[in-house]
Amino acid sequence: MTFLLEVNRLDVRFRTELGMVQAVNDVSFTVSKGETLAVVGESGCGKSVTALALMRLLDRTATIQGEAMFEGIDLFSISEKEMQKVRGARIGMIFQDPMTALNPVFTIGNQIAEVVLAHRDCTKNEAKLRAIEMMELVGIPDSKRRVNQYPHEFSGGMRQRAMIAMAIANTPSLLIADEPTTALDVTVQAQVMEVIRGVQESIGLTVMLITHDLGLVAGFADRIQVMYAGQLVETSDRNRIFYETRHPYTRALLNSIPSQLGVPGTELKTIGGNPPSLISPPVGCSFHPRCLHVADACRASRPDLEAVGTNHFSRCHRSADLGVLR
Amino acid sequence: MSEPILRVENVVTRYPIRAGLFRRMVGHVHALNDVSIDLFPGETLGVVGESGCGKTTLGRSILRLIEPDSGRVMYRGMDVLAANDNELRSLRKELQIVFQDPYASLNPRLPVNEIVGEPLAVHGVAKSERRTKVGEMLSEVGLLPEHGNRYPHEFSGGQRQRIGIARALILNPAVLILDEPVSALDVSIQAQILNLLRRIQQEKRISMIFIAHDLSVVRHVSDRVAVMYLGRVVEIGDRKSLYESPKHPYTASLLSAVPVADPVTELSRQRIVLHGDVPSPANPPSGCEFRTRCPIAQDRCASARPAIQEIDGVGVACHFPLHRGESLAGRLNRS
Repeated sequence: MTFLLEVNRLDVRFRTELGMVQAVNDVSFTVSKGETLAVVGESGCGKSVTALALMRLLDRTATIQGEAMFEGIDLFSISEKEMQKVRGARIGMIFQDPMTALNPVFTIGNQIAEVVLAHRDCTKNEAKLRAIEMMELVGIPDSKRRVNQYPHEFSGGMRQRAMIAMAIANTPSLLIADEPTTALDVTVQAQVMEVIRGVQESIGLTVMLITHDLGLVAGFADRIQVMYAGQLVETSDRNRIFYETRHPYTRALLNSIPSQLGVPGTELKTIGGNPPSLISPPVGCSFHPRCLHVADACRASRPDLEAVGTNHFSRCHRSADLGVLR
Repeated sequence: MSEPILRVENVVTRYPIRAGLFRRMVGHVHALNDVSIDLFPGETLGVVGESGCGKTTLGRSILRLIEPDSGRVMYRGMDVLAANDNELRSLRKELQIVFQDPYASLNPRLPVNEIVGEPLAVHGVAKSERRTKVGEMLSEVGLLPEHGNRYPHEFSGGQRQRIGIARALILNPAVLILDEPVSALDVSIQAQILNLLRRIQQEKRISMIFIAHDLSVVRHVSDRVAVMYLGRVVEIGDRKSLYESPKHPYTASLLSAVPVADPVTELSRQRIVLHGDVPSPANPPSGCEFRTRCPIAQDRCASARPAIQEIDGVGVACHFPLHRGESLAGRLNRS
């Protein structure tokens, strides 16, 4: 089986005044063609940094180590010039806040056309036609007129559609969506997710969806990987993560959401304490200070990501004796 | 049913739209348009809606942090909106608010003792007594009394929200307004705060207005729920009937848009995706505000605004409400 993307031992560190922040620690994963991989976790778990590292969009305070093989090339060893040919052409990316990601002084059409012109040998007019075509594909009504409008004339949902149009204008093979609907209202979120799904089907896109919203993941992802404190703690297909949960953090996260299916007014199960500092992470398993199942081994050494079933991996010393967690 | 502790009656709050070189007023945004709600003793009333629906303005209008243009807010026989400065000060002892952003709502230059003790100082409580009360309050919200000497930046988002809650509770209010109290927090921390609020309410029997955009959170905490759209309440009723059998097409589509963290449910249910965006509140549609996005709108919806009417104990503002047990998808298939 060949993978579209294969990340090996990714490490990302940031130099700060307070010390070295280990934002991503020894993360390895693969993405297969056509699938939707969801990366979930809370703020600071390293999910966005992983995506930005792959796109080489981190600033100079960051040090990246590891390997990221994408369509036969290592994204971390190619030159910046070669990377520019990948970004926006073979990998598209959409961000959380479409207002800050769009340039307010250029028209939407200009911005989509710019992406097309950067990667294709075509005239400005052809690029603009492509922009209109893309805007139609993502469901922006009246796109012949709206192509000449500025971002402030677009609503939040329409801006995010424009971002998607820009990201897929060069028919990339991978789309990285970093919290694409977090800034949007639920009814608009439903629209945007439908657009992504539609585009995925029409151009055969592979999607890496980065989110904290487990509800979104439940309906959208094929596979899920859960991150905590810069590490991958559990990964498997969607149903196994939800129904055959093996890592105590994944379980705790699922239990702490007030679900539409739960009993209202009851005490929610919480995760005590706060996520650890990434400058001086706890010795042993990074989740052990908050874990309900902590044992001596967890304080002593860091567990490895180990197979706990078919295509199911968990980073926990107690996987074997805890079994499936409820 | 007992008498309501707080009655919001026909409140209208407008914001001026200014334009041009001299910032001349060119129109109004109706943030709250004839809103009436009752809050009963000891209950939690959830207020939900999308951005711009007026839910935050509602919370602030009740406390007169924003001055409404007309209407009444009756609390124990007194109209908050008509109160003079002195009366308002004593009313605010009873009516308190917790804000959304735990970073912006705490003064970074004051230690926690002073932040939480400030309402006491305003109401003339002596310094020594303040200290003891603040210490007790901090323990009650899950912090330590010695945290009082620290500054807001030394705390995480969840802890800051605890500080905001302690400040709101220190005067023993009868009504607590919570404006998106957990939306800035991660889920694991959100659950801690929701449990804290639940415990506080059980112990103190405070009446709460819980404003949020997250329907799952509102379902979890509320006894009754009001759904707002473009400055109006479109449906209000007890939690169970509202969530299990929504009558307003907006409530129904809002509920169908919320993703459920359970793959089997999520993949099997019928979703109604609303078209378009919420119209501008500066230029609302004629008749029913929701008609431009409503999948079951008819001619009458454009000509006449539906008044709120009571059906099976639930208030609904719709000409063609869904019947008990009828789904919006079912109605769509039939027509």
